[in-house]
Amino acid sequence: MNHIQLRSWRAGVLAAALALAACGGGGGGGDGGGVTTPPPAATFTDPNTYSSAASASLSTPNENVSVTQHTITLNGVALSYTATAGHLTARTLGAAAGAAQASFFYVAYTLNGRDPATRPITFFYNGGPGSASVWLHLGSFGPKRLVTGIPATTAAAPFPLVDNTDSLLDVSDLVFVDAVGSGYSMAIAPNTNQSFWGVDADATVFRDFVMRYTAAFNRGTSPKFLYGESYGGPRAALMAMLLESAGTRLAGVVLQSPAMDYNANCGVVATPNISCAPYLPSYAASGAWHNVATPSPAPAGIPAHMVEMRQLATTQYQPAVQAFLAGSTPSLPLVNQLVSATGLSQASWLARFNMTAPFFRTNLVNGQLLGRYDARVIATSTSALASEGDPSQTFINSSFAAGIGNHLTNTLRFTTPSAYVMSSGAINTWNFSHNGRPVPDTIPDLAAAIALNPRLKVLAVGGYHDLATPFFITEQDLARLGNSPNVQVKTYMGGHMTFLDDGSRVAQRADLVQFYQSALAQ
Amino acid sequence: MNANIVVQSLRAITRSLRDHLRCPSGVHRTPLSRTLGTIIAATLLCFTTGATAQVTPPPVFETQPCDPCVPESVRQKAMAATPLPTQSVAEAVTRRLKARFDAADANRTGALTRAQAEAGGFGFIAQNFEAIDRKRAGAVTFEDVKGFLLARGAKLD
Repeated sequence: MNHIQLRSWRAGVLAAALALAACGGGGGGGDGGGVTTPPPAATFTDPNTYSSAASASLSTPNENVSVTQHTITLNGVALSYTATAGHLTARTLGAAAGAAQASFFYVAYTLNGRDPATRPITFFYNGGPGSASVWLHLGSFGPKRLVTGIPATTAAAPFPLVDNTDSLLDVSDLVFVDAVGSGYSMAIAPNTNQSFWGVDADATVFRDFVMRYTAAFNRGTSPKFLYGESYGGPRAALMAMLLESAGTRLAGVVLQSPAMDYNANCGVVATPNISCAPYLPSYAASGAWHNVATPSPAPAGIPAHMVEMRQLATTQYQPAVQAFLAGSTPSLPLVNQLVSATGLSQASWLARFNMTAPFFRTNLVNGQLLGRYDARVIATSTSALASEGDPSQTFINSSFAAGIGNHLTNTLRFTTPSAYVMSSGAINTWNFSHNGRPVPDTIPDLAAAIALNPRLKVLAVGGYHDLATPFFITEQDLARLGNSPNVQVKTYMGGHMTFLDDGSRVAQRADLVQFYQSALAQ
Repeated sequence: MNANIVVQSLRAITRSLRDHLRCPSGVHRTPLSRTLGTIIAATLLCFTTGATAQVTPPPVFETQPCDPCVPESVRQKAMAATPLPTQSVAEAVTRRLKARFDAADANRTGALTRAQAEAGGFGFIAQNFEAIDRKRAGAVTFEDVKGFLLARGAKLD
């Protein structure tokens, strides 16, 4: 065992010992050669009270963990892995002993018997801002997933949590980390949660978490990946720039339905002068799903159909929207073309030519509301499922809440009297300004990361039926990076969380495996 | 334990009330009654169980994410902002890197030593110091960094 591994092992034993001491248990050590031996199992009851209030701060952070052992069969191979749940203290960068900034809650799934020096590691987080990373944690490529049955809304809640045969754990260790003020993550005094509720401050403290994790678990030389969803996309772009600047090299960045440029999405800033034209292909895909568009191709025909719809959006609808915003009346033949393409009535198109997603979702099917995150999900307008404005989210919300509570308490053996916060109120007081603008455009930040590391691989993924971050906006955002074999965009059937769709999750996993292979091959 | 849950529930109710008072238009929130119902139900569950093998987890604050969204005040600011002068990505990248360089240059000398780069969060410069410091000056300017990156194929302006 070399010096660095020894140090890391000591850190691991120390953490486990601290955890054991806290719950009155005990256990022995272990040893490893080029690979680590799984640490002894430990439960941990965290006495801290974690709060998501803007003014809240923690004065007694700890880095204790619960450690549990599990097995999963992936592609016919039985794999044993360690789940570690607990906190790490992110400190300011630079000075030898930086000031404590925030106590990040994370759950790490690490394959046993692999050399941490070469084993890839991926940091996952959702967005919001203010969301905990529960959606990626229990919905995507972790070792467990909730069976949602999306886009159907027939599954009984709470959904069962099952072994995820599409997990990426065979490819990479997986760390799910919650933003400050969400989950059990919290600012450390004298900071408050609000101190990190801004585009730049948030990305910086996330960088510091990655650096702390890397140091604590001896992952300095591990190939590193970021996986950010939605607002997690801009966060990932900024983190990539900050990590590369700081000298921590990344192998790849995965952007799940990312909102890279807030100025490019008419549904985010919702100003009347931003064109909604890039939403058109998503409207057409949604109309096709509900069989009201002409044509309404079956799923297999959607990719080819979307080629035409991008064309319609770019060559006809976009210039017409620009003219409309400048005061001219849209031409009736084009309106009728849009009626056919989407299935949305002529009256609707005439009432709202720069078509916004809420209007589309309310008016496509009479008496029904389509989902924002997944427009394939539909519910009677007066139903409980529609009452919160997005049936695709309401359908899964309580099951994810119940799922994370049970998973942490009963499977990972991490307990605390505090409530796990799925989504804080951070968005209300978030400092969205970045680079001198009121809302962030993070494509230049991603480009800066690529400038510092020309071998950095980027994969953006999205769903045809996502009306929050439409795939065509993501394509246009990423196109600003110029043509590069290192930057790819993939789109699947489904919404914002493409991985909730059983077919798309399989297809996406295959693409991710290829992405990891190409990023690791160089 | 139960006392803690009650405290947590009260905090949740306070927070939920606050969120509803401040909820920006366009940001969907779980209706207050439903949030309270969930918390109260979870609390009751905690009071009535305890002898089972499965431990009842603490309540989870269940609110709808609105991602990506901005509150009304930010929307107003974005609307009022003057449009950006056309700026290429390469230009924006250069500005971003210059800003990071300047942030590390605490003494405002226009040049960074290896130690200053490291301390200023620009470890990249420290790691590539010999290659960037082609003049062997012991300190590198932003132009030196730019030259190094351009030579590696970076798109800068």
